[in-house]
Amino acid sequence: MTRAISPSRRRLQSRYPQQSHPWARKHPSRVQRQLWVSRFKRASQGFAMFVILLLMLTVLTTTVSLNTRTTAGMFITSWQGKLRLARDAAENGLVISVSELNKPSNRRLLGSVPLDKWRTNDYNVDTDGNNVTVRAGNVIYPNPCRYLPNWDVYQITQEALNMSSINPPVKTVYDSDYGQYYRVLGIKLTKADRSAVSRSTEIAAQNAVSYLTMTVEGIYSLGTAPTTANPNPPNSVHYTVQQEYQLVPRCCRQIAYPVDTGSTANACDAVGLGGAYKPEWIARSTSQAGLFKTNQ
Amino acid sequence: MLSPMRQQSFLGNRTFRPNSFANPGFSLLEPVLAGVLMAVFFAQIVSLFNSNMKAVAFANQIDQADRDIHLALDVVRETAAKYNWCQNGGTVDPLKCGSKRPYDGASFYNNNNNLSQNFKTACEKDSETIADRDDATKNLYFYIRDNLSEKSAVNNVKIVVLQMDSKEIHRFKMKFEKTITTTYGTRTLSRGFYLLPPVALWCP
Repeated sequence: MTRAISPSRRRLQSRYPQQSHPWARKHPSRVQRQLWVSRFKRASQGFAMFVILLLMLTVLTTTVSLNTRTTAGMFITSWQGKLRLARDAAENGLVISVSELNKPSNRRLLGSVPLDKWRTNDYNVDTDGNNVTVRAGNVIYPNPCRYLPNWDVYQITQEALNMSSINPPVKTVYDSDYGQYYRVLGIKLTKADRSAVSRSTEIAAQNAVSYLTMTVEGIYSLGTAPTTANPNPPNSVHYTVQQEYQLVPRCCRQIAYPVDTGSTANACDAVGLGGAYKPEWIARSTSQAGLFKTNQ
Repeated sequence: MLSPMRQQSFLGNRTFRPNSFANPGFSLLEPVLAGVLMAVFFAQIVSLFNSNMKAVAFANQIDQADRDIHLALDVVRETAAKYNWCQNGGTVDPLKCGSKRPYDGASFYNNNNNLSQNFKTACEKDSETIADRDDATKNLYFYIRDNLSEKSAVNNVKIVVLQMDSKEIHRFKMKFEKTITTTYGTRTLSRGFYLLPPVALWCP
């Protein structure tokens, strides 16, 4: 004969199948009530510490988030400052490098020597009727055009020669103090119509404006100093600047640029000078500027 | 504090199970310890927050000083661009150049007149790398020293021409300095820049 089981008792049995105290089997509803009372009592025990632990956890989470945000902000500010210093280094590098080519000693290079021949030590330039080999320390600036007493300011500089490509290219890193460094990544020439000037066979025009594009990388590194062999030390910040200059010919020791007045003659012929007087090329004004590429 | 309580189960198996909660009610020790913990905790947070805020303020002050230096650099570059030999000795005042455009060097130096000859003579004088001995650009140097350095136009940035580091191209080596008072004391920011006045590109 099957005996009916109440729903509360069935629930209890299904929850605790192995437990079978006789009193519990007899009074399932009282057991249920006692269970609830017991749970409530237990839940309220140690309430203060539990709430405080929760509160501490919440405050800790908030604090950690706040500090992470603040630290990230400071890191970004610091990064921006370093980037600005790297950019300053690049801009300084541009000024120094372009003025290196504007020195009397190097003014004739761009219009007399193809870029790929700057460092071969076997290319000759006609100077005062003599052929002079292009290399650091030699003088290709014509004698009648020299006015400064110091002979050394007319000697070709290695810094200028290093700008031109060779295989592999030399990208010398220079220190400009305050943790700032720069290196010339490359120079190139284009004609007045922006077509390329061949690096191995052509030179800048003697009777028209050409364009010189110079790319310089600024480096900011307070730790390990970058070197030509290792320009990317850890934690260094890099900023690359590219600028295009008008490259304008004129006759040496003159202040006027014949192309400004529409002349299409050779720079020295245009001012009635010839013989020992030779054209020189000045990177005179900025045509275009580009700021790009940061890394590290 | 959290002593385990053993109790008899109503469910009848008579086994004893540990309880991770304390007896009903608070002991004196519990809220006192919790209070101390909270006090230490909040003190640390306040301290950390304060030091962070100080660091942020410091970074902002340094950043502002850096921006001031760059403003000064821009002002100096602009001044150098305006400097021309449209009167003997050179000037940064475009009004003294008459109708000629201040940025158009060709209008000044392509004329074969006394002014351009004087300019050429000034350029060819050996300055021996001393800025105030360079006839072609010394008025620019004096203007920067007397009218810009530590003046409001450049947010009081100190501008010093260290030397004419390359006399044959009349290039200035300059130092820009800004001193600020921060929560961590007085700091001086220094930046070095090279300046090639456009007028120098017309010198032989």
